[in-house]
Amino acid sequence: MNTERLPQENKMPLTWTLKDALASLFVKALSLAIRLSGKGSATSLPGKLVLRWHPQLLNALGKKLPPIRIMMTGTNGKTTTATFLRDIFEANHNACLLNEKGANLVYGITTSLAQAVGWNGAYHAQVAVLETDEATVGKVAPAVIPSDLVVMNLFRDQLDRYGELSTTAAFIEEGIPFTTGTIFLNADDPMLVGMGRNAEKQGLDVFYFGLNVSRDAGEETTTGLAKIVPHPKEVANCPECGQAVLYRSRSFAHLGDWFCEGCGFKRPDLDASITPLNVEANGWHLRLDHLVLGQGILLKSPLLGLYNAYNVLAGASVAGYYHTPVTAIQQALNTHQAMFGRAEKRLIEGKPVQIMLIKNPAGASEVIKTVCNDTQAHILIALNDSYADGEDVSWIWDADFEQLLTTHPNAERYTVSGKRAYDLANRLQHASLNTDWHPQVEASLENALHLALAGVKDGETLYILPTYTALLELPTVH
Amino acid sequence: MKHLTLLHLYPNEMNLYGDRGNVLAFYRQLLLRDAQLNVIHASLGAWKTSYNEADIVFMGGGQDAQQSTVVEDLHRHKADALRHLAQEEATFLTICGGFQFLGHYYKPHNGEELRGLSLLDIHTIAGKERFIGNVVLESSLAGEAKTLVGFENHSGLTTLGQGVQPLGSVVIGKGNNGIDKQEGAVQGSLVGTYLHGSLLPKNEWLTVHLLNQAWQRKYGEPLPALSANLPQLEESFAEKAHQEALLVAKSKEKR
Repeated sequence: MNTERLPQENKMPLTWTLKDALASLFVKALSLAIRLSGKGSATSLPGKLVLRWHPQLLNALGKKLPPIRIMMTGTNGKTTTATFLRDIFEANHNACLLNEKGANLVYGITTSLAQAVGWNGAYHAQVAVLETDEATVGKVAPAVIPSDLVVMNLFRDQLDRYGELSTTAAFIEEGIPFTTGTIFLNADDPMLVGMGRNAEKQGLDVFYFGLNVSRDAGEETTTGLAKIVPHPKEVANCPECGQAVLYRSRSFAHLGDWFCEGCGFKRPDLDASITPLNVEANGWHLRLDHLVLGQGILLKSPLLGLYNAYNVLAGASVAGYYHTPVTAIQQALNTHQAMFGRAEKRLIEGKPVQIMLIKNPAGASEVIKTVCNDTQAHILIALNDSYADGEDVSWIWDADFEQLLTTHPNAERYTVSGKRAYDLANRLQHASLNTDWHPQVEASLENALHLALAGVKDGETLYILPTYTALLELPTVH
Repeated sequence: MKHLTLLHLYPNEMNLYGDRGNVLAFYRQLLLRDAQLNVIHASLGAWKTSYNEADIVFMGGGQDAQQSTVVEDLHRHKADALRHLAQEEATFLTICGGFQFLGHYYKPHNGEELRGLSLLDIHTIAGKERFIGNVVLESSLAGEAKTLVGFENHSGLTTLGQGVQPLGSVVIGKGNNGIDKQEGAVQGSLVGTYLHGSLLPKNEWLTVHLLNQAWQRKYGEPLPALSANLPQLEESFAEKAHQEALLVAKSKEKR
């Protein structure tokens, strides 16, 4: 791994035309108008319209980005990590451009860049971080020519869009030939290591990051009905010979220190790793080992959960690679505002509420572990089935609601909502060993919220677990 | 306590879209009737004698990467014993990939044809288009016509042979091949379908029908009635979830 290399100046034409400037102005004006009217999506529509008139705009915007332009993708954690990385760069006084939350498709990225660009085609930023949807990487990378590509993980998520996980991986791989520098990959995910092998064949540098956990961190959670009808262990295949891999230790789902009995291939040596240490009241201690930053660096993170350890690790991997000092990483952690629905704490009607987005089995099961840590939890879950949520709600049967129902068996603490409220109520009932288990069901999220809050007593917290469009419906999140 | 035994084939390899929910539905439905479901897992490797106790055999769908491993293992370790269970009229429920493997063969886009178990007189050829969406069927499996709701996600096009009936006719969705308006297959005590959702939890009548079939075979009497201790409800969550899925399928079809 060559750490001396800096991103090459890209060789594409750097011209910025009057048409580019006018198109960007149009986006700014339209976004403002939509915001003022309070109707419609200000992140998607302007980009959609402007690309009809000027299909090359994203290309022009992309080429003018600062030389360090990092694309961030993967199923879970890309928003949190992209924001965290932005915070690190800014803590180090590097102005950083980040696309708006959730605006991670072609239209949204176009809108975000057009809003940020100056009249003369320059950005007030030394670094750009672009959170990008997995299937969009191959479409945006040719326009942006990223210096680096970060892939967090690949979980089963929204397969109703892409059909199979290997299809999603293929979409991401389309972006690799356009990347001029380093591919940062989660080595704990065998499928991503397969991607890394291909990138190395194309002469690209690969930087592997992974967690050091001492045991199978998912093992102890088998409780209640899950003992009788266990959750399937995620199967991942060796990128070399295709045989199912085994694990020395597993953090969760199919992520871990894996190896192949068939051909002897194993998790590659890590360029950066985090070893979780002790947890305290206001966060936990993590040990970071990093090729550039050094060994045995102690960090303290307010974000609990192994999935957040991956987010911290991915952010620190990239920032450290660009020689950003550890103090900036720690500072970003200290001030880290948990992201848009990803782990948001707030007061609603004077009662403490924690909002955590759920969207796929692996992510939801990790969120459930957090809820299970609070014995006084009240729980509101909202399931929608719009395109952005995933139209196929089958995934709720793979999320570990058995653990939730074992830890919190009292139906009075549950409120169920959303367009598929009864599907969800039915799912929860099937996770209970009590044949007469009935949560409150209220399809309207607004009403459900009032109902749930009414039950929250002093010292108790309401945990709200919405799918994506349900999150947007929550009246307080704006 | 009287019980049924369910053999869950390849629970790790063949579980793509919440298919384990079907096992939970069997479990709960027996619990409501003061009976029990014993679940045995059959993963890759040799057949065990305990597997022969199966009253119900269940297999879900899998990812392409796992399919060839599973097919190889089926032929090597499980084929004869499963054929025997089918002859003995054990109840089979297979979803998506599991459904395809019960047929004669599956021919992918590129790569070798995967030979199936030929327990169902069907064959499957990979199509160009992937069928993804809500499905509503009308099925007469339990006598009178009843509705099934679910979600399909497959590119394999399945054609039924002479000796096999469809599980239902397609009201909304694509079904086996997008042409003949048929979905799934029923041959004796064997049922196969593309429906995820999960299927059984929100199609309670099918759960009861399959359990009754297995119970009759084992005990020579109908499935016990619902426990008298349960509160009398006008409508279960399962029924409400069924209605909700039906409404969603209809409203999304119009768009």
